[in-house]
Amino acid sequence: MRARTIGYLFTEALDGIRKNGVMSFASVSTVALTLFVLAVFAVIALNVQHMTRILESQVQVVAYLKADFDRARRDDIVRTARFLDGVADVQYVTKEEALARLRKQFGEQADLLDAVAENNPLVDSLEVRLESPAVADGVVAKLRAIEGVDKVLYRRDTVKRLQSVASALRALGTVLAGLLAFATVLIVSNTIRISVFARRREIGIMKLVGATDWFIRWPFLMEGAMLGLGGALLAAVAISAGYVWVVEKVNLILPFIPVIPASPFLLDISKVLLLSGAFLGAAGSLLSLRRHLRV
Amino acid sequence: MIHTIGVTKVHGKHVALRDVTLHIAHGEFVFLVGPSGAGKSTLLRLLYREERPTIGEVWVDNQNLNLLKPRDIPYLRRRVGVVFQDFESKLLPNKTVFDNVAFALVVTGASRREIKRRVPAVLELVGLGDKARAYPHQLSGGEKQRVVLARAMVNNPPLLLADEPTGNLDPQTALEIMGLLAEINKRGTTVLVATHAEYIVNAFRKRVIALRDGSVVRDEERGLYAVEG
Repeated sequence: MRARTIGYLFTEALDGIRKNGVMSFASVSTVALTLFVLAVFAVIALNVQHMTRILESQVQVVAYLKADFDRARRDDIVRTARFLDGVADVQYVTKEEALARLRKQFGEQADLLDAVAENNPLVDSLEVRLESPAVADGVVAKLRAIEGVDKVLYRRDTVKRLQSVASALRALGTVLAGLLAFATVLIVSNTIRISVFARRREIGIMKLVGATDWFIRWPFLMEGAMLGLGGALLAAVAISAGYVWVVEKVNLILPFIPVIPASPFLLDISKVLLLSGAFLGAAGSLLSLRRHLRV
Repeated sequence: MIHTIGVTKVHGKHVALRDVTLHIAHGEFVFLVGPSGAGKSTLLRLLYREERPTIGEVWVDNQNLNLLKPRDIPYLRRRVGVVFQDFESKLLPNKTVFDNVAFALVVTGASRREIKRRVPAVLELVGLGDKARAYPHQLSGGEKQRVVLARAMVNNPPLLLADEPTGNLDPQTALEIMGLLAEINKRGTTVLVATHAEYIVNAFRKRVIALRDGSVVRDEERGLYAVEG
């Protein structure tokens, strides 16, 4: 296609949006809302997934030792735990190390810990890596039986719970996405129908003087894609601003929760949003053209 | 240029054309006459493939339109110029005369240079050389019809169809437009004009094909609108 022709089609598409202001605005808003809701779900689901993965990669079983545990027995207890069936590795974590770790996780909020640092409330612990999740129950029971062990925490439960939350979110998100995408296609399609109607004289003349079907369709297709893109842009800005704000708050209040850093995460989300917006818009337009532009 | 072979066209229960067989050679100028509802417009619509015959074959420029694929219709339209009675609705009010005419080239993907070369030439041909920058609402009826004519001719089609082109014009302007069609015909374009303007047909003395109730009732060279006596 010649550059001149593309320029023509582009101008026509913009013209259509301008002439059809109210409906165009309605379309853009609906697309924006749809994609925003989608993005919110996607962002939450991805974050839950992220958390799950991090937890999974971390220690699977932690045995907290009694507060009065004698450190002289450190090597004994490590060896005992190490030789249990199904245990891959054992690491002894002193309460000082645990506090330092916590400090790191708290980041800028580390000062909060100063209050408790004087009298470290944490206890020494054994971090136990399993050969496979299947042996967890047995290992947990045996760890409990070791003298000096206070509580045993099996993080696998947390991981499992997170995984089910993630899959529920994914399912809900998919259903919602389907419905909203459908609504988007319909409203864009309706907008384009009106645009086609407004240009029926022009279309008639175009047919008369020998414009090909695609030459007639392109401006409408582009109009639809632009409406979608406009909506997507709004959604991308909203989700980006919102995410940055939420991440800031989470890091402030719940610094130990691992959230996905804003960059380049938001860039990827925005790319997907813009692509889906343009695609939904074009699809809506095509739907309308098939029904209302018999060329 | 045009051949219709045993063409019948039925709209619902109404028979618009009845077994019409016609042959129009390249370079001819033909008047298609008859009262309203005789089938003149239907016949023209078959020729630019706006409609298809119910029975029979339609050939235009060595092409059997019955076999024409929908996606090839645009290419037929570029070789068949069409002019209507309601020129008012055939112009884009927000475009200048130049752009209205150029429109027919733009939709075919013509280059800017091509457009700059051909539009002024065709505006000159229809006598609107000085109106290129005017908008339709600034033009008289006759001038608007000239713009439509210029647009129909800008692709240099071998065939020009005119459906009551002077229907909304005063007699003086009508004769001018018809003179322009004759001029276009002299340059080699086959021209088929549907009209019921008796004085025009009688003034030009061209081939006349008369339709009545969808049938060809007369076809004579250098004919008059009606048979004398």
